[in-house]
Amino acid sequence: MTRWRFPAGVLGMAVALVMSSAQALPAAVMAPSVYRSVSTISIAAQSELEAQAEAGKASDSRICAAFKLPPSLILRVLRQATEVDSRTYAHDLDVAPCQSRGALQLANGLQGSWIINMSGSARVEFEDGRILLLHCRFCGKPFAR
Amino acid sequence: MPAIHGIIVHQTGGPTADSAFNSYKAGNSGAHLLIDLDGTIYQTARLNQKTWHVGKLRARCVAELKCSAPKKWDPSGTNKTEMAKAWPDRYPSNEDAIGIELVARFDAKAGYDSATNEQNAALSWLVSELQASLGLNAMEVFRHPDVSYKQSTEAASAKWRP
Repeated sequence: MTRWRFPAGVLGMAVALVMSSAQALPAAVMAPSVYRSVSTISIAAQSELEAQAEAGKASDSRICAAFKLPPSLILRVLRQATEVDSRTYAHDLDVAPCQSRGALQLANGLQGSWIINMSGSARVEFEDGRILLLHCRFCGKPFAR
Repeated sequence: MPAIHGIIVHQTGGPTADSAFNSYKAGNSGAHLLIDLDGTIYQTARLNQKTWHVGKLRARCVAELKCSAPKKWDPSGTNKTEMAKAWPDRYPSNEDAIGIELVARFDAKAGYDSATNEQNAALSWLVSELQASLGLNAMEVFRHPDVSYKQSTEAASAKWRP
């Protein structure tokens, strides 16, 4: 597994300084923007067949071969994609048969895991229980709509 | 909708009927009927009114093994191809399908909650009534993910056949 470290940005650094001596606070006291201050990511799998993909629905794993996300794009999605509610994520957004997934760490040290679907939706789960549902409207290739 | 050819069964992704109504009022996609957790049925659009509840269509011929699957995942392209076909060569769409929503919470890890017994009883009655009054083919009732690219747990527990 390879790790990439990126500058966290001014906001992230300020939050990190304030919270540098503390363990990660419960989800209830952390500002939503903190969850977007991603400082490092790692990639566990690329071009993976999505868990729900079923045979007979054009879910050939070869379809996923081209779905490889560069670290810079993963970071951009995790930091800038639009947060959506559960109805939008579940009912309105499409589910593609392909995904990439990995882990992340916020500027304040909180860790989490991410899954980015080839449709442009993403789910991020943090170790404090917070879940972010995202939709990347600005994503072009290799995403598909 | 000049003609109605089928019914699509959805789940709302929100925990209450009010959360669905508020979503509709905000201009988001909505369907024609909504069944609350206790089986209460609400009509949320005229039955012949077009609403945007189906999304991009899957290729019906692929599911029915009448054509080969595309080599790449292209929901917009596939939808365009499908919408150029007349029903029943394609699935019922926003143009000709009634949408029935079941109130159900969605959990990002576990998926949609199961339909309640009351919801399934109401759904079974409603589908039967709509089929009888509109002359619909009994086979043209689909779960949302069967016809569009949606979460596979949506309406997985919905039952409408006696």
